[in-house]
Amino acid sequence: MKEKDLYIDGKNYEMILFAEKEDESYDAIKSGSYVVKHFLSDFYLKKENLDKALHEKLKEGNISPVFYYMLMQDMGPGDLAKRVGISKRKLRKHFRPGFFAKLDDVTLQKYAIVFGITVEQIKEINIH
Amino acid sequence: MNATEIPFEHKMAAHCETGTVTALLNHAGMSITEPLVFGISGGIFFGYLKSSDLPFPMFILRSKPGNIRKKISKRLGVKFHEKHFRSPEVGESALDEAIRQGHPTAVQVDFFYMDYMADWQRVHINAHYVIVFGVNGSNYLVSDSYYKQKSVLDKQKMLTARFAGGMMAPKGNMFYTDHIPDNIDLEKPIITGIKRAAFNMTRLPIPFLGVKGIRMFARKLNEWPAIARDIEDLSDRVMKINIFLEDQGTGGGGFRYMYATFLQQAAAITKDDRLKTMSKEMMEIGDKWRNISYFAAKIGKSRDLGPERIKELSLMIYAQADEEQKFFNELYRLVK
Repeated sequence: MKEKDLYIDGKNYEMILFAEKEDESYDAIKSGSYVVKHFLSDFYLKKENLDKALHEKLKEGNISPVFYYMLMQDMGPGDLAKRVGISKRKLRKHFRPGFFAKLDDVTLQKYAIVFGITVEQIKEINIH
Repeated sequence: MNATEIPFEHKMAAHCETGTVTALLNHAGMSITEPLVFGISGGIFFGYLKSSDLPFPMFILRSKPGNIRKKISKRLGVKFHEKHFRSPEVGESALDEAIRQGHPTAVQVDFFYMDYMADWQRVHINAHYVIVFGVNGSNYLVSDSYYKQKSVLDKQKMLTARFAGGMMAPKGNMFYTDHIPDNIDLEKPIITGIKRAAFNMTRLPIPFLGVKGIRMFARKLNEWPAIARDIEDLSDRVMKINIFLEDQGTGGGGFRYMYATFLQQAAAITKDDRLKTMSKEMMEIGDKWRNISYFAAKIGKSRDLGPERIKELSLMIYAQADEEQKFFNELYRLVK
Protein backbone atom coordinates (compact mmCIF):
# COMPACT_ATOMS: atom_id res chain seq x y z
CA MET A 1 0.00 0.00 0.00
CA LYS A 2 1.18 3.50 -0.74
CA GLU A 3 2.52 5.53 2.14
CA LYS A 4 -0.18 8.19 1.88
CA ASP A 5 -2.97 5.57 1.99
CA LEU A 6 -1.43 3.63 4.84
CA TYR A 7 -0.36 6.47 7.10
CA ILE A 8 -2.63 7.15 10.08
CA ASP A 9 -2.19 10.24 12.14
CA GLY A 10 -1.82 9.34 15.82
CA LYS A 11 0.85 10.89 17.95
CA ASN A 12 0.08 9.14 21.23
CA TYR A 13 0.61 5.66 19.85
CA GLU A 14 3.03 5.13 17.01
CA MET A 15 4.28 2.00 15.34
CA ILE A 16 6.30 0.94 12.34
CA LEU A 17 4.58 -0.12 9.14
CA PHE A 18 6.10 -0.96 5.76
CA ALA A 19 4.75 0.98 2.81
CA GLU A 20 5.40 1.93 -0.78
CA LYS A 21 7.25 5.24 -1.05
CA GLU A 22 6.93 7.82 -3.86
CA ASP A 23 9.85 6.24 -5.74
CA GLU A 24 8.20 2.78 -5.62
CA SER A 25 10.69 1.50 -3.06
CA TYR A 26 9.30 -0.18 0.06
CA ASP A 27 10.43 1.00 3.43
CA ALA A 28 9.45 1.52 7.05
CA ILE A 29 7.25 4.44 8.05
CA LYS A 30 6.10 5.65 11.45
CA SER A 31 2.35 5.68 11.68
CA GLY A 32 -0.50 5.72 14.18
CA SER A 33 -2.89 2.81 14.53
CA TYR A 34 -6.20 2.55 12.67
CA VAL A 35 -7.92 0.66 15.48
CA VAL A 36 -6.59 2.90 18.22
CA LYS A 37 -7.63 6.04 16.37
CA HIS A 38 -11.16 4.92 15.60
CA PHE A 39 -12.10 2.17 18.01
CA LEU A 40 -10.25 2.55 21.31
CA SER A 41 -13.34 3.95 23.05
CA ASP A 42 -15.30 0.89 21.93
CA PHE A 43 -12.62 -1.35 23.44
CA TYR A 44 -12.93 0.48 26.78
CA LEU A 45 -16.71 0.32 26.64
CA LYS A 46 -16.67 -3.44 26.22
CA LYS A 47 -14.13 -3.82 28.99
CA GLU A 48 -16.28 -1.72 31.29
CA ASN A 49 -19.39 -3.74 30.48
CA LEU A 50 -17.52 -6.98 31.13
CA ASP A 51 -16.25 -5.55 34.42
CA LYS A 52 -19.79 -4.65 35.51
CA ALA A 53 -21.23 -8.02 34.54
CA LEU A 54 -18.46 -9.88 36.36
CA HIS A 55 -18.87 -7.72 39.46
CA GLU A 56 -22.55 -8.68 39.53
CA LYS A 57 -21.56 -12.33 39.40
CA LEU A 58 -19.02 -11.79 42.16
CA LYS A 59 -21.69 -10.22 44.36
CA GLU A 60 -24.11 -13.05 43.65
CA GLY A 61 -21.41 -15.51 44.65
CA ASN A 62 -21.27 -17.24 41.27
CA ILE A 63 -17.60 -16.69 40.54
CA SER A 64 -14.38 -16.09 42.45
CA PRO A 65 -11.86 -13.24 42.02
CA VAL A 66 -9.54 -15.69 40.23
CA PHE A 67 -12.13 -16.15 37.51
CA TYR A 68 -12.75 -12.40 37.42
CA TYR A 69 -9.09 -11.54 36.84
CA MET A 70 -8.62 -14.36 34.34
CA LEU A 71 -11.38 -12.95 32.16
CA MET A 72 -10.41 -9.32 32.66
CA GLN A 73 -6.83 -10.07 31.65
CA ASP A 74 -7.98 -12.32 28.81
CA MET A 75 -6.04 -15.41 29.80
CA GLY A 76 -6.70 -19.05 28.96
CA PRO A 77 -7.24 -21.44 31.90
CA GLY A 78 -4.39 -23.72 30.81
CA ASP A 79 -1.98 -20.81 30.66
CA LEU A 80 -3.08 -19.41 34.03
CA ALA A 81 -2.77 -22.83 35.72
CA LYS A 82 0.79 -23.21 34.37
CA ARG A 83 1.74 -19.71 35.52
CA VAL A 84 0.48 -20.36 39.03
CA GLY A 85 1.92 -23.86 39.05
CA ILE A 86 -1.24 -25.85 39.72
CA SER A 87 -3.34 -28.29 37.69
CA LYS A 88 -6.25 -27.13 35.55
CA ARG A 89 -8.55 -29.20 37.73
CA LYS A 90 -7.43 -27.35 40.82
CA LEU A 91 -7.75 -24.02 39.03
CA ARG A 92 -11.34 -24.80 38.13
CA LYS A 93 -12.02 -25.36 41.84
CA HIS A 94 -10.55 -21.92 42.57
CA PHE A 95 -13.16 -20.43 40.22
CA ARG A 96 -15.75 -21.28 42.89
CA PRO A 97 -16.08 -18.74 45.74
CA GLY A 98 -16.30 -21.45 48.42
CA PHE A 99 -12.95 -22.96 47.48
CA PHE A 100 -11.40 -19.55 46.92
CA ALA A 101 -12.25 -18.44 50.46
CA LYS A 102 -10.16 -21.30 51.85
CA LEU A 103 -7.00 -20.41 49.91
CA ASP A 104 -3.91 -19.62 51.95
CA ASP A 105 -1.80 -16.51 51.45
CA VAL A 106 0.99 -18.40 49.65
CA THR A 107 -1.34 -19.45 46.83
CA LEU A 108 -2.98 -16.03 46.76
CA GLN A 109 0.46 -14.45 46.44
CA LYS A 110 1.15 -16.61 43.36
CA TYR A 111 -2.09 -15.40 41.78
CA ALA A 112 -1.31 -11.80 42.76
CA ILE A 113 2.09 -11.92 41.00
CA VAL A 114 0.56 -13.31 37.82
CA PHE A 115 -2.20 -10.69 37.79
CA GLY A 116 0.20 -7.89 38.69
CA ILE A 117 -1.75 -6.89 41.84
CA THR A 118 -1.40 -7.28 45.61
CA VAL A 119 -2.88 -10.03 47.80
CA GLU A 120 -5.09 -7.37 49.45
CA GLN A 121 -6.52 -6.36 46.08
CA ILE A 122 -7.39 -9.92 45.17
CA LYS A 123 -9.11 -10.43 48.55
CA GLU A 124 -10.96 -7.11 48.60
CA ILE A 125 -12.50 -7.25 45.17
CA ASN A 126 -15.45 -9.18 46.60
CA ILE A 127 -16.47 -6.24 48.77
CA HIS A 128 -16.59 -3.55 46.07
CA MET B 1 26.49 -2.10 40.46
CA ASN B 2 24.60 1.15 40.72
CA ALA B 3 24.71 2.80 37.33
CA THR B 4 25.99 1.40 34.07
CA GLU B 5 24.89 2.51 30.66
CA ILE B 6 26.14 0.98 27.44
CA PRO B 7 25.93 3.47 24.55
CA PHE B 8 23.12 2.03 22.47
CA GLU B 9 21.05 3.46 19.63
CA HIS B 10 17.34 2.97 20.23
CA LYS B 11 15.24 2.42 17.16
CA MET B 12 11.60 1.51 16.79
CA ALA B 13 10.95 -1.60 14.75
CA ALA B 14 7.91 -3.31 13.28
CA HIS B 15 8.35 -6.51 15.22
CA CYS B 16 10.00 -7.21 18.56
CA GLU B 17 12.09 -10.28 17.74
CA THR B 18 13.32 -9.17 14.31
CA GLY B 19 13.80 -5.66 15.70
CA THR B 20 15.83 -6.95 18.62
CA VAL B 21 18.05 -9.21 16.51
CA THR B 22 18.54 -6.41 13.96
CA ALA B 23 19.45 -3.89 16.67
CA LEU B 24 21.98 -6.28 18.24
CA LEU B 25 23.59 -6.99 14.86
CA ASN B 26 23.69 -3.30 14.00
CA HIS B 27 25.21 -2.51 17.37
CA ALA B 28 27.91 -5.10 16.74
CA GLY B 29 28.76 -3.36 13.48
CA MET B 30 26.87 -5.43 10.92
CA SER B 31 24.69 -3.44 8.57
CA ILE B 32 21.43 -5.33 7.98
CA THR B 33 17.78 -4.28 7.83
CA GLU B 34 14.82 -5.66 9.73
CA PRO B 35 13.08 -7.06 6.60
CA LEU B 36 16.29 -8.91 5.64
CA VAL B 37 16.47 -10.47 9.09
CA PHE B 38 12.82 -11.44 8.79
CA GLY B 39 13.18 -12.91 5.30
CA ILE B 40 16.48 -14.73 5.82
CA SER B 41 15.13 -16.39 8.93
CA GLY B 42 12.06 -17.47 6.93
CA GLY B 43 9.82 -15.79 9.47
CA ILE B 44 6.65 -15.51 7.40
CA PHE B 45 4.07 -18.14 8.31
CA PHE B 46 0.47 -18.81 9.23
CA GLY B 47 -1.11 -21.00 11.87
CA TYR B 48 -4.56 -21.35 13.37
CA LEU B 49 -4.38 -22.36 17.02
CA LYS B 50 -6.87 -23.55 19.56
CA SER B 51 -5.87 -24.63 23.05
CA SER B 52 -6.87 -24.29 26.68
CA ASP B 53 -3.81 -22.05 27.00
CA LEU B 54 -5.64 -19.49 24.90
CA PRO B 55 -8.77 -17.61 25.93
CA PHE B 56 -10.12 -17.96 22.39
CA PRO B 57 -8.89 -19.54 19.13
CA MET B 58 -6.28 -17.34 17.46
CA PHE B 59 -3.96 -17.24 14.51
CA ILE B 60 -0.25 -16.58 14.21
CA LEU B 61 1.48 -15.01 11.24
CA ARG B 62 5.13 -15.77 11.94
CA SER B 63 7.34 -18.68 12.89
CA LYS B 64 7.83 -19.84 16.47
CA PRO B 65 9.35 -17.30 18.90
CA GLY B 66 13.10 -17.80 19.15
CA ASN B 67 13.25 -19.19 15.62
CA ILE B 68 14.33 -15.91 14.05
CA ARG B 69 17.50 -15.70 16.14
CA LYS B 70 18.24 -19.40 15.66
CA LYS B 71 17.88 -19.28 11.88
CA ILE B 72 19.84 -16.05 11.54
CA SER B 73 22.62 -17.62 13.55
CA LYS B 74 22.58 -20.75 11.41
CA ARG B 75 22.30 -19.05 8.01
CA LEU B 76 24.63 -16.09 8.54
CA GLY B 77 27.14 -17.83 10.81
CA VAL B 78 26.59 -15.21 13.51
CA LYS B 79 27.21 -16.55 17.01
CA PHE B 80 24.97 -15.51 19.86
CA HIS B 81 25.72 -16.17 23.48
CA GLU B 82 22.35 -17.60 24.46
CA LYS B 83 21.13 -19.02 27.74
CA HIS B 84 18.08 -20.27 29.63
CA PHE B 85 17.96 -20.53 33.41
CA ARG B 86 16.13 -22.57 35.99
CA SER B 87 16.89 -20.24 38.85
CA PRO B 88 15.73 -16.60 38.71
CA GLU B 89 18.65 -15.53 40.91
CA VAL B 90 21.21 -17.04 38.56
CA GLY B 91 19.35 -15.57 35.58
CA GLU B 92 19.39 -12.11 37.11
CA SER B 93 23.07 -12.16 37.98
CA ALA B 94 23.92 -13.46 34.48
CA LEU B 95 22.10 -10.49 32.97
CA ASP B 96 23.85 -8.06 35.33
CA GLU B 97 27.19 -9.62 34.48
CA ALA B 98 26.54 -9.36 30.72
CA ILE B 99 25.74 -5.67 31.11
CA ARG B 100 28.80 -5.12 33.27
CA GLN B 101 30.87 -6.63 30.46
CA GLY B 102 29.32 -4.14 28.04
CA HIS B 103 26.95 -6.38 26.05
CA PRO B 104 23.50 -4.98 25.25
CA THR B 105 21.45 -8.09 25.97
CA ALA B 106 18.14 -9.25 24.55
CA VAL B 107 15.76 -10.86 27.02
CA GLN B 108 12.52 -12.75 26.46
CA VAL B 109 9.74 -11.45 28.69
CA ASP B 110 6.03 -11.52 29.42
CA PHE B 111 4.73 -8.36 27.73
CA PHE B 112 2.23 -7.77 30.56
CA TYR B 113 4.91 -6.50 32.94
CA MET B 114 6.31 -3.84 30.57
CA ASP B 115 4.67 -1.06 32.53
CA TYR B 116 5.87 1.78 30.28
CA MET B 117 3.34 0.60 27.67
CA ALA B 118 -0.30 1.74 27.85
CA ASP B 119 -2.69 -0.36 29.95
CA TRP B 120 -4.84 -1.44 27.04
CA GLN B 121 -1.82 -2.84 25.22
CA ARG B 122 -0.48 -4.97 28.02
CA VAL B 123 -1.49 -8.61 27.65
CA HIS B 124 0.07 -11.80 28.94
CA ILE B 125 2.22 -13.00 26.08
CA ASN B 126 5.55 -14.62 26.77
CA ALA B 127 6.98 -14.03 23.33
CA HIS B 128 8.15 -10.45 23.72
CA TYR B 129 11.79 -9.41 23.36
CA VAL B 130 13.49 -6.27 24.68
CA ILE B 131 17.10 -5.17 24.91
CA VAL B 132 18.59 -4.30 28.27
CA PHE B 133 21.48 -1.86 27.85
CA GLY B 134 22.16 -0.67 31.36
CA VAL B 135 21.33 -0.53 35.03
CA ASN B 136 20.41 2.47 37.12
CA GLY B 137 19.85 1.76 40.80
CA SER B 138 16.89 -0.59 41.03
CA ASN B 139 15.98 -0.19 37.37
CA TYR B 140 17.11 -1.67 34.10
CA LEU B 141 17.51 0.60 31.07
CA VAL B 142 15.42 -0.94 28.34
CA SER B 143 15.16 -0.49 24.61
CA ASP B 144 11.80 -1.85 23.45
CA SER B 145 11.24 -1.71 19.69
CA TYR B 146 7.50 -1.05 20.23
CA TYR B 147 8.15 2.02 22.35
CA LYS B 148 9.05 5.43 20.99
CA GLN B 149 12.02 6.03 23.29
CA LYS B 150 14.37 4.30 25.69
CA SER B 151 12.65 3.38 28.93
CA VAL B 152 13.27 1.91 32.36
CA LEU B 153 11.86 -1.14 34.09
CA ASP B 154 12.04 -2.07 37.74
CA LYS B 155 14.44 -4.97 38.35
CA GLN B 156 11.86 -6.98 40.28
CA LYS B 157 9.34 -6.58 37.44
CA MET B 158 11.95 -7.64 34.93
CA LEU B 159 12.65 -10.74 36.99
CA THR B 160 8.95 -11.63 37.14
CA ALA B 161 8.60 -11.00 33.40
CA ARG B 162 11.65 -13.15 32.53
CA PHE B 163 10.53 -16.02 34.72
CA ALA B 164 6.77 -15.94 34.08
CA GLY B 165 5.42 -19.45 33.64
CA GLY B 166 2.72 -20.56 31.24
CA MET B 167 2.67 -21.02 27.51
CA MET B 168 6.09 -20.44 25.87
CA ALA B 169 7.61 -19.66 29.28
CA PRO B 170 10.75 -17.54 28.72
CA LYS B 171 12.79 -19.36 31.42
CA GLY B 172 15.03 -16.34 31.70
CA ASN B 173 16.10 -16.61 28.06
CA MET B 174 18.73 -14.00 27.19
CA PHE B 175 21.23 -13.55 24.36
CA TYR B 176 23.83 -11.19 23.01
CA THR B 177 26.10 -11.24 19.98
CA ASP B 178 29.30 -13.16 20.44
CA HIS B 179 30.94 -13.26 17.05
CA ILE B 180 30.06 -11.90 13.62
CA PRO B 181 32.06 -13.25 10.67
CA ASP B 182 33.63 -10.76 8.25
CA ASN B 183 32.19 -10.26 4.77
CA ILE B 184 28.97 -12.21 5.06
CA ASP B 185 27.54 -13.07 1.67
CA LEU B 186 23.78 -12.60 1.94
CA GLU B 187 22.79 -14.21 -1.35
CA LYS B 188 22.74 -17.83 -0.27
CA PRO B 189 21.01 -17.19 3.08
CA ILE B 190 18.34 -15.18 1.24
CA ILE B 191 17.59 -18.07 -1.10
CA THR B 192 17.54 -20.56 1.79
CA GLY B 193 15.21 -18.29 3.76
CA ILE B 194 12.80 -17.93 0.84
CA LYS B 195 12.84 -21.65 0.10
CA ARG B 196 12.14 -22.54 3.71
CA ALA B 197 9.32 -20.01 4.06
CA ALA B 198 7.66 -21.14 0.82
CA PHE B 199 8.00 -24.76 1.92
CA ASN B 200 6.45 -24.05 5.32
CA MET B 201 3.55 -22.16 3.78
CA THR B 202 2.62 -24.71 1.14
CA ARG B 203 4.07 -28.11 1.87
CA LEU B 204 3.73 -28.85 5.57
CA PRO B 205 1.38 -31.81 5.98
CA ILE B 206 -0.35 -30.30 9.02
CA PRO B 207 -3.93 -29.06 8.65
CA PHE B 208 -3.62 -25.93 10.77
CA LEU B 209 -0.33 -24.57 9.43
CA GLY B 210 0.59 -22.63 6.30
CA VAL B 211 -2.08 -22.03 3.66
CA LYS B 212 -4.00 -24.99 5.08
CA GLY B 213 -4.10 -23.00 8.30
CA ILE B 214 -5.56 -19.98 6.49
CA ARG B 215 -8.31 -22.23 5.12
CA MET B 216 -8.93 -23.69 8.57
CA PHE B 217 -9.19 -20.15 9.96
CA ALA B 218 -11.73 -19.23 7.27
CA ARG B 219 -13.76 -22.35 8.01
CA LYS B 220 -13.64 -22.12 11.80
CA LEU B 221 -14.54 -18.44 11.79
CA ASN B 222 -18.14 -19.50 11.17
CA GLU B 223 -18.09 -21.28 14.54
CA TRP B 224 -16.95 -18.22 16.47
CA PRO B 225 -20.46 -16.87 17.23
CA ALA B 226 -21.26 -20.16 19.00
CA ILE B 227 -18.18 -20.15 21.21
CA ALA B 228 -18.13 -16.45 22.13
CA ARG B 229 -19.64 -15.51 25.51
CA ASP B 230 -21.92 -12.85 24.06
CA ILE B 231 -22.12 -10.34 21.23
CA GLU B 232 -19.59 -8.00 22.84
CA ASP B 233 -17.11 -10.83 23.30
CA LEU B 234 -17.60 -11.82 19.66
CA SER B 235 -17.13 -8.20 18.58
CA ASP B 236 -13.92 -8.06 20.62
CA ARG B 237 -12.60 -11.27 19.05
CA VAL B 238 -13.43 -10.18 15.52
CA MET B 239 -11.79 -6.79 16.09
CA LYS B 240 -8.72 -8.60 17.37
CA ILE B 241 -8.32 -9.98 13.84
CA ASN B 242 -7.39 -6.41 12.95
CA ILE B 243 -5.04 -6.10 15.90
CA PHE B 244 -3.27 -9.40 15.16
CA LEU B 245 -2.87 -8.43 11.52
CA GLU B 246 -1.84 -4.82 11.93
CA ASP B 247 -1.00 -3.66 15.42
CA GLN B 248 0.78 -6.51 17.12
CA GLY B 249 4.15 -5.84 15.59
CA THR B 250 3.59 -7.07 12.06
CA GLY B 251 4.60 -4.03 10.01
CA GLY B 252 1.06 -4.11 8.58
CA GLY B 253 -0.90 -6.58 6.47
CA GLY B 254 0.03 -9.47 8.74
CA PHE B 255 3.81 -9.30 8.08
CA ARG B 256 3.12 -9.37 4.33
CA TYR B 257 4.29 -5.76 3.82
CA MET B 258 7.53 -6.53 5.60
CA TYR B 259 8.00 -9.63 3.46
CA ALA B 260 7.38 -7.59 0.29
CA THR B 261 10.07 -5.18 1.45
CA PHE B 262 12.40 -8.12 2.06
CA LEU B 263 11.78 -9.46 -1.45
CA GLN B 264 12.53 -6.06 -2.94
CA GLN B 265 15.80 -5.81 -1.01
CA ALA B 266 16.57 -9.45 -1.87
CA ALA B 267 16.05 -8.70 -5.58
CA ALA B 268 18.64 -5.92 -5.36
CA ILE B 269 21.17 -8.13 -3.57
CA THR B 270 20.73 -11.21 -5.75
CA LYS B 271 20.20 -9.08 -8.90
CA ASP B 272 17.16 -11.20 -9.73
CA ASP B 273 14.32 -9.14 -11.19
CA ARG B 274 11.86 -11.96 -10.75
CA LEU B 275 11.99 -11.40 -7.01
CA LYS B 276 11.07 -7.77 -7.63
CA THR B 277 7.93 -8.85 -9.45
CA MET B 278 7.15 -11.22 -6.59
CA SER B 279 7.61 -8.41 -4.10
CA LYS B 280 4.92 -6.37 -5.90
CA GLU B 281 2.59 -9.36 -5.74
CA MET B 282 3.29 -9.79 -2.04
CA MET B 283 2.46 -6.12 -1.46
CA GLU B 284 -0.91 -6.68 -3.13
CA ILE B 285 -1.55 -9.73 -0.94
CA GLY B 286 -0.72 -7.53 2.06
CA ASP B 287 -3.26 -4.96 0.83
CA LYS B 288 -5.94 -7.64 0.80
CA TRP B 289 -5.08 -8.67 4.37
CA ARG B 290 -5.33 -4.99 5.26
CA ASN B 291 -8.82 -4.89 3.70
CA ILE B 292 -9.77 -7.89 5.82
CA SER B 293 -8.61 -6.09 8.94
CA TYR B 294 -10.55 -2.92 8.05
CA PHE B 295 -13.65 -5.01 7.41
CA ALA B 296 -13.25 -6.97 10.68
CA ALA B 297 -12.84 -3.76 12.69
CA LYS B 298 -15.89 -2.20 11.06
CA ILE B 299 -18.31 -5.09 11.57
CA GLY B 300 -16.95 -5.59 15.09
CA LYS B 301 -17.60 -1.97 16.01
CA SER B 302 -21.11 -1.91 14.57
CA ARG B 303 -21.88 -5.36 16.12
CA ASP B 304 -23.03 -6.36 12.65
CA LEU B 305 -21.98 -9.94 13.27
CA GLY B 306 -24.78 -12.05 11.80
CA PRO B 307 -24.00 -15.26 9.90
CA GLU B 308 -23.91 -13.44 6.53
CA ARG B 309 -21.29 -10.95 7.65
CA ILE B 310 -19.11 -13.65 9.22
CA LYS B 311 -19.52 -15.68 6.03
CA GLU B 312 -18.43 -12.67 4.00
CA LEU B 313 -15.31 -12.32 6.14
CA SER B 314 -14.67 -16.04 5.90
CA LEU B 315 -14.84 -15.92 2.09
CA MET B 316 -12.35 -13.05 2.02
CA ILE B 317 -9.96 -15.22 4.04
CA TYR B 318 -10.51 -18.24 1.77
CA ALA B 319 -9.56 -16.05 -1.19
CA GLN B 320 -6.34 -15.12 0.65
CA ALA B 321 -5.49 -18.80 1.08
CA ASP B 322 -5.80 -19.34 -2.68
CA GLU B 323 -3.69 -16.27 -3.44
CA GLU B 324 -0.96 -17.23 -1.00
CA GLN B 325 -0.87 -20.81 -2.21
CA LYS B 326 -0.33 -19.59 -5.75
CA PHE B 327 2.24 -17.05 -4.64
CA PHE B 328 4.36 -19.32 -2.48
CA ASN B 329 4.25 -22.16 -5.01
CA GLU B 330 5.63 -19.79 -7.60
CA LEU B 331 8.22 -18.46 -5.18
CA TYR B 332 9.30 -22.00 -4.35
CA ARG B 333 9.73 -22.81 -8.04
CA LEU B 334 11.82 -19.66 -8.50
CA VAL B 335 14.39 -20.52 -5.86
CA LYS B 336 14.38 -24.30 -6.13
